Amino acid sequence: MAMATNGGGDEVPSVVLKVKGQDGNEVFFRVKRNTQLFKLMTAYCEKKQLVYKTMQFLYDGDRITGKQTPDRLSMEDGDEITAVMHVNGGGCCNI
Amino acid sequence: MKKGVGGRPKSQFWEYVEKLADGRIRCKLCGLAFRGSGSRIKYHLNGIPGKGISRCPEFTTQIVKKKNEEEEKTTPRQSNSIQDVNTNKESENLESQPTYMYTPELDETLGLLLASPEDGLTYDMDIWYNKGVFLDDSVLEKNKAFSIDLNSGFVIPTCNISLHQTEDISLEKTYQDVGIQKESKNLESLPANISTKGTDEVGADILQYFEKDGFIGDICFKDLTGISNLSEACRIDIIETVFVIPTSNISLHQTEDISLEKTYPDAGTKKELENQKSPPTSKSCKGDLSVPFSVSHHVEEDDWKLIKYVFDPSSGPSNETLVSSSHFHLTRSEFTTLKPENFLDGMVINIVVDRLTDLGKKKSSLDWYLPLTFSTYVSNDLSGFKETVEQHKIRQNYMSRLADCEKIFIPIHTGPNLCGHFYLCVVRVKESIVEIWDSLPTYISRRVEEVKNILLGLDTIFMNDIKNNFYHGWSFAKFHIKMPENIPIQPNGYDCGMYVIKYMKLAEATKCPNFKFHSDEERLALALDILKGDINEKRDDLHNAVEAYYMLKREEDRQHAKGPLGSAMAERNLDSLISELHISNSESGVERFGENWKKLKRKMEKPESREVKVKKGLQWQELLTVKKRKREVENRSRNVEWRKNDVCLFQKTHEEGRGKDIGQLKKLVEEVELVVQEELPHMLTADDEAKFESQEHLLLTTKLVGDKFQKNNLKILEFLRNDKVVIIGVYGLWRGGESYSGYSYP
Repeated sequence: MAMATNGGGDEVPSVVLKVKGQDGNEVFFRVKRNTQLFKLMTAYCEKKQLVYKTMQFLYDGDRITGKQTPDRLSMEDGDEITAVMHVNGGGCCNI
Repeated sequence: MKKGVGGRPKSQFWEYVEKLADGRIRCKLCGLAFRGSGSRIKYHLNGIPGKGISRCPEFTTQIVKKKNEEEEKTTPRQSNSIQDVNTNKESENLESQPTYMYTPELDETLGLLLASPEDGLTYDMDIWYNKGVFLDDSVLEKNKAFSIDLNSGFVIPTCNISLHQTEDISLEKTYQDVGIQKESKNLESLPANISTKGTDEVGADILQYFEKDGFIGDICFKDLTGISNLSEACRIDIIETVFVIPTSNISLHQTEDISLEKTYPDAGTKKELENQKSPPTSKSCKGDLSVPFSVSHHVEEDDWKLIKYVFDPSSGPSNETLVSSSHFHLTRSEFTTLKPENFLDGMVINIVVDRLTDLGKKKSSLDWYLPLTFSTYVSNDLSGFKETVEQHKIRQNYMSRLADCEKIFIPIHTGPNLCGHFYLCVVRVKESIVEIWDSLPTYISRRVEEVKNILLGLDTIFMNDIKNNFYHGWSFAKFHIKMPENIPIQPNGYDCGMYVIKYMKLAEATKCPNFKFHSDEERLALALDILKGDINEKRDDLHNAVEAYYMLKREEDRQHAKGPLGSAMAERNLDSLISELHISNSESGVERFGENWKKLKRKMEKPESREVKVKKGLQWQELLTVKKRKREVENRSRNVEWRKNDVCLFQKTHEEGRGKDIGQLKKLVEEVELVVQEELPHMLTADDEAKFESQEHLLLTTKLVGDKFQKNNLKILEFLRNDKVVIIGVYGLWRGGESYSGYSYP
């Protein structure tokens, strides 16, 4: 995975990120360092057939906002993002 | 003290008995001593035949006494109120009331259990608990009296057919649509159609329904014709007893809601409503019409503004970040789950955890608050748990030294992701006790399993610390798990998240939380707390956004306010304009023309802006009456549009220098004048305007999700047409299950 820097002719280096779902499956993404992570998250949801709104993504225990970039979070190759389903509840019957 | 499943509160029937030394119990009323359980007490008190225990002769008379005392205090009720006559054989009212009532005779024949509202309530709760169902208190309150068919366990509230009582609009409508007023006379022929179905079969049918649909939000109908030995009068009684346990989402809480109040007069049942209406739970604060919360205490103007902005869906995108703490953030759609009666988003709890952790660090508190994600990781997989926790820096962010730690608060989510339940697990490290603080204690064994898993998770994280700090053999897994009994219980089906937050906040001060809980007030307080607290890194941004929002709104309002200044004024202006035009006509000066042109344009603005106002007013009226706007209004707005176009066209030709036709201009002005003079019946009055402003309130009420409701509606209609069906029961859990099966973020 380490050779994944310098993507194509672009000046902006890219980084390979791992998104780990709740089921333990991992999906790898290569993104440019200045890409907003929103793109990555929606792509993941599309691949996994999830609703973006129902998901939350955590990196180092912090929730990622769509506007953050790998640069801003100083992510490195192989870093793991955890995708967790949103939960809500009210104490209804079918617990 | 807990009995059986669910750790539910003790049945109120136990109030009527005392325990004897030899393990038996004695009825306080008649003195009969017997060995037995809660259900035997019920059978005894209510005199259910065939249950091997004799009837308590005192019980009914006691109830009657109570009732009579109550009746003396209050004015006599309307005759068709049924709860007065429950198990009330001796009551004199009985004879004077023609129908709509159960007589004890009927009870015995049918094996129905009738009890006073209080007792009936507990009984119901038992049944529903046993089925794993939680019935909303408010529902029970509203329906007052219940009975239970012992054959099927089917809960039958004994309010009468006039569905007005149940405050269910949709059903009421349904009835009126079909035009079936099930008059007792019409139905007298019914007993002739007795089917061959046996009681058992009926019971099985119902149970099947229950099993199939998980007891939630569906229709169950019951064919009573198979039950033998029924007098005709009784049968009619039953037929009349069409009852409704409100289905999932037709929220009874919202009696204050405008929509409901408006609908009732339409249905012509206002009178009943007034009789039935329970006293409002809270007085609304002035000016809160546009805000979803109804609270009794005073709230600062600025706070209302903030709340209004945040909960107004039009004020920003749903993925806008409103609150951002050190580790989490809340988007608008997540934040708006704080709206009354909504399921709370787990992220809100995480934010509160962040806040409590921050506060704790400042005070160097020895309590730890863990985010909801912690328990999620545990339930996933215990093998990689330590790595996950390390990766997510939970130890760094939320924990300190284990040796110092006193309490660990772990909010846990259980059940399906989007319709689950929150509860709090409190680990008292020093005392080696784990408490489960659950606002809805059901499925205790499952809770205990989950908590055990969490404890194992804690063991894996702290393996080294435990070795160094505690004696050999010490482990979290060996902690004693218990469920405190006097934990406040949520009175509804949506507030468990709020309770968890409340527990966490209070836990520091007290060993066991004990508080009064008003859902709306708590939610509002929490919303403000999160928005305005130090925790919110977005606070200043938010403040600016609110300012900007209200600036914009004021600007809009000012523009609108120009509209209804009154056609008189506009007329006057036009008059002067026209007279000027006459002059200009004679002089035909180019300069004069330009001036008039400007004036005309200005005048044109008025009907335009007024039109906006009218449209707004219409929208409001549509909301109330559900009528479509009238065509004439449509035409007029189109008219205004045309005039506008005309003026534009005129301007074009004028600019091109082709025609400086004063006559044409004059004609235009006349047309504009006509439009202005036109009467505007749908104009928004000041009064309406205030209401219109409050329409956000309407928008914010919960809506039925999915088409299940429609299907059920059709089903009910079908049953109504079917002669063989004599009783239609709509059961369901308030705000449970079906209605919420879809993902329904706003």
